[in-house]
Amino acid sequence: MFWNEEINEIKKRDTLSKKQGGEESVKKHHEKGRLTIRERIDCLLDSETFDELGVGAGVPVFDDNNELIDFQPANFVLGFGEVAARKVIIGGEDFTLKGGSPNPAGLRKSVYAEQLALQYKIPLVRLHEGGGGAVGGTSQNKNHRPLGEPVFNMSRFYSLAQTLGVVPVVTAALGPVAGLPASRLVASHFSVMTKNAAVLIAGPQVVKRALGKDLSKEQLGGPEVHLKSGVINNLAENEEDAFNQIRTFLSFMPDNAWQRPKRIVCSDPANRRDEELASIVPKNSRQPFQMRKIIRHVIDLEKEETTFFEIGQKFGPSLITGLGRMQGHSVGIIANDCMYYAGAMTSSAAQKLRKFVDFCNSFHLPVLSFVDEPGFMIGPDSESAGTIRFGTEAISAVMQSRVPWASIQVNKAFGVAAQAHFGPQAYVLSWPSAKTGALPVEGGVAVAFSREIAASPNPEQRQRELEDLLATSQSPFPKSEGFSVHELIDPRETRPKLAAWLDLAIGSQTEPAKPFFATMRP
Amino acid sequence: MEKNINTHVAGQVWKLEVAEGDHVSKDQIICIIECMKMEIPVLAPVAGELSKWLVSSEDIVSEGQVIGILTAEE
Repeated sequence: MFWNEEINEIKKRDTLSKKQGGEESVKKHHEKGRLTIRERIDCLLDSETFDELGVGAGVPVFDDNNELIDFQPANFVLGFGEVAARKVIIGGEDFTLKGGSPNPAGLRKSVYAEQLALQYKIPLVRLHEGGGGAVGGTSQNKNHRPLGEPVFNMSRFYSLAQTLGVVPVVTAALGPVAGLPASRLVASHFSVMTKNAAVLIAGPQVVKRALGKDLSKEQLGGPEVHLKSGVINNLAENEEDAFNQIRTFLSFMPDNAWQRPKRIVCSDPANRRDEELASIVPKNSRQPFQMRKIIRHVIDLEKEETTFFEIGQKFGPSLITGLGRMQGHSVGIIANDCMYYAGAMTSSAAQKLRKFVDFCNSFHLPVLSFVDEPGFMIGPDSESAGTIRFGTEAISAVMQSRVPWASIQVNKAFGVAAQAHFGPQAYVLSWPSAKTGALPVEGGVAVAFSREIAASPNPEQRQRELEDLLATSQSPFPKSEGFSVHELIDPRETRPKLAAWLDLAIGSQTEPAKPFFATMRP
Repeated sequence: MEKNINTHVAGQVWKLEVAEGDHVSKDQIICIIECMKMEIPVLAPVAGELSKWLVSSEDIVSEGQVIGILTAEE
């Protein structure tokens, strides 16, 4: 062999690089109950499929005789791998080296992750744990004067923004994530955090100096904060659970925006009619019910388990969003949860809806919309949260939707906000429990007939009479007579009807799949 | 161990379904809040004894407010 010496040095560098932050640092990391980035990648990927890029990126250390004695690797591990036998790009910060705060080679590799995704058009998975830049710069050389990026370089955020329209991006926060990694974390279609993770713009010390507030990492950006803020979609019990959720999410997705999700074999019969569907919505409209039960009865079961995968339950909780399967097809699911403000559209629910509909359009997921919309949330908090604008933005997103869309009028569909549940050319089914109109009678009558009610000798009785009278006009039967719904059905027929429709709708798509772009919205 | 009972919605307390000193099981409906013309149940977060109500019928409550204290079973 001519190149024995060099080949040995490659091997030596490879071994030194994989020591990560060194034994002591790795041990400390394990003591906190966390896996290292290399262990994480191995856990998430199919066995022995990791094909690393840039093991040799980093800074070698030589002794006086110019012998290699150490190697400080890039603190971002990157490569290709497979999840359920499908190729992905995977990467994440190495917290055992400088707490994941980017060193120069680490920064280059992290930015390259998105460029790779754009080039090879396969899903991108990022496992985050690390800080952002340091005030002294990222160089290991203390006398180094930071020169910045060349002016002709494309901003690192260019590819970050591009990827969202091109490939599925999935991220996890598996420890403290701050600054640049936090920004990349939220630039995703699905994000998950473990219980001991925190997501921060800036950490406790910076906050204390700037604002005089003494708060822990968890108080600033723990799961309690960020599941509700919408920064993160789902909570994971532990890292393994986070990896399982990532696998599940990816199972619904195509590789990129030029493909449609692949249909899988479905053993659940299309004509399954669950009896309970006829008795979930109570006759008394003041009593709430479990919308998730309805979703579970209608969509596919796989080995008797639901295929429903909910995304972002805690943010804007009056709206339910998630993925599921219908006859083996991936579908996006939207529904109201009347346990929260009767299912009313709050500002956060509207933002959640807008993002979810754009996501479904980006990856060609047909939408099933289970409607129980009493209208926009009312009151001073809702007004100051800008609900009408975010709500109208959500409606605009729905109007620009191009995916097959079915709406099931389960219960209420009132006011402007109801429009956010019916996509263009939607297939509309109505249940006998459906009630529609400009305003629910309970509030509407009191306003519209205020004089008549006040002039009556028994105002309360008159209000009730008027409410009963007008309630009949909100019944689904006249809507069915007027063909303003496709069909008024026995709720037990929902699954067979949707299954048959979805086959037709998917079969009728003649245009090739391509990336989705939307215009300016309110 | 004492455990706070929070309401996940704002509204008006319509009915307290259990009295102080009553034993409750996990997820039992212990209070009903009227919100947007609907009766939203508040469930016991754990099994135990209801030690104290901090609200009474017809009180206005805000989202996340502590409405009672539960002493959890050992």
